[in-house]
Amino acid sequence: MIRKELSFSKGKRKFLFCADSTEEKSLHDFVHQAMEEGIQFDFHIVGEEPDSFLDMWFNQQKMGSYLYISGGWDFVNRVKKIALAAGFSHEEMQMKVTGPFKKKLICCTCHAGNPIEDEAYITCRNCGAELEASTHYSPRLEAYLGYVSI
Amino acid sequence: MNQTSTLRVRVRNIKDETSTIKRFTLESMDYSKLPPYSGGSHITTFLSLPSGTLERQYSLFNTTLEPGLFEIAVRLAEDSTGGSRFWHQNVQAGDALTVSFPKNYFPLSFQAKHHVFYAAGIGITPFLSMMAELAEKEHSFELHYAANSKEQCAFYEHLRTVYPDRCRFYFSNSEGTKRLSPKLLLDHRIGTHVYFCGPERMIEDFTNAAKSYGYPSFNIHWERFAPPVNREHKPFSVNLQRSGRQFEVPANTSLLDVLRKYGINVPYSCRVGGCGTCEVKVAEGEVFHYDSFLTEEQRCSKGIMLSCVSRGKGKLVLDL
Repeated sequence: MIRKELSFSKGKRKFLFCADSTEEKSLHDFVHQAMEEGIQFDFHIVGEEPDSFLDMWFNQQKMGSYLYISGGWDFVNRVKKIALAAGFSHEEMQMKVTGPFKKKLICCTCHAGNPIEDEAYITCRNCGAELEASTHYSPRLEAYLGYVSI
Repeated sequence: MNQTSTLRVRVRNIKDETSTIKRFTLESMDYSKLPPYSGGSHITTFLSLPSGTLERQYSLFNTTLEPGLFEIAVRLAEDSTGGSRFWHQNVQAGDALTVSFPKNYFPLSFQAKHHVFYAAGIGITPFLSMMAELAEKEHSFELHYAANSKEQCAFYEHLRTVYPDRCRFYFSNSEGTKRLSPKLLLDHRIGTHVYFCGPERMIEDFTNAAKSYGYPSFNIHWERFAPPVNREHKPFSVNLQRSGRQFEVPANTSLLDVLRKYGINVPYSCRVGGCGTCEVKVAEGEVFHYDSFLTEEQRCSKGIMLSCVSRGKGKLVLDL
């Protein structure tokens, strides 16, 4: 779940903190809390590392690990995809996006994908239907459902 | 439960797996294939006793090489209330029986990267079909299986032969072998789903340990084969809001049994608090929830309960 603000997840054995170079500071409070509570953690500021680096890092983790991702939209989604492929679930991660969102809204009438940022209402670029952006997310389509706007 | 969707089957074969566990192979009466089922499924068997029909649930599997058969394993319970004793003492090869279609309240996760099964004793049975399904799909899994001894370990040779590198056995009566410990949960890779089946205490210990190690509830699965031990054992009264009827529920009887005894046709299925079929609406009163089905949110709402295992405190008013 992409959030506006992150929260500290209790009862975990290990934390993985992962940020791009602009957002590392947003995780400092959590790193501090993990240190205070004596919980093991890894911290990576990801720059030019290839996907294979992240893939190997995530695949080495045990159950009870918890992932924080913070950065721009493209960065967060890239890391999230690799983490999900390694076995992390949405229950085992929190994500924070800074800057504009680049969501996809699926038209409930014609099923076309529409790029959106934070708009609550749009007009479908394919069929012209007035759509309301919902929070109903499809992991398979990597998109939100756009309802008919009444 | 109504019996309109039942199957008639014949006992083809009975084999002693251990001194207390028998395996029954069931075939269709006309030699056609019995319905397919997913890993973790069970059937309800309807046994005709002089005192009435006895319903018992057993996990389904098929260790034969012939498709279209049902197999179940029945352990003779020391405190048998009729089911296991009947299977062990009365059922013979060639007998015709009535069973339900397969149902599954213990399905495999389709999101897991790796599946780990923890079985104790007769708790191995749901995992036989789950492992067969995963092996066929070439998915990753492992089994940790505890029994008193090698001799008391049902399906030991079968498991060692079919899944030689995926099974670890723990024998409590043998010296020098490791005991099955919840600490094994510390070593599973990310993306693992764990499944527990065994005595109540074992399920509780492993579930609590998994949660304490940070496993999301989503990754933890278990199946009880008996209702949870009722620690309260107190009678309570129940009022039915709509009909105005009132009953007493004795300490040794479930609310479901009392309601059905007085002709209130509450549907039910598993009778161990695992499926949600026997849910009833609560209008007033405090409930002790003993099921493994309702969410914390549903329990806190105080509006529903599962009548097969959960109980009222003092006086309960139901929306019935």
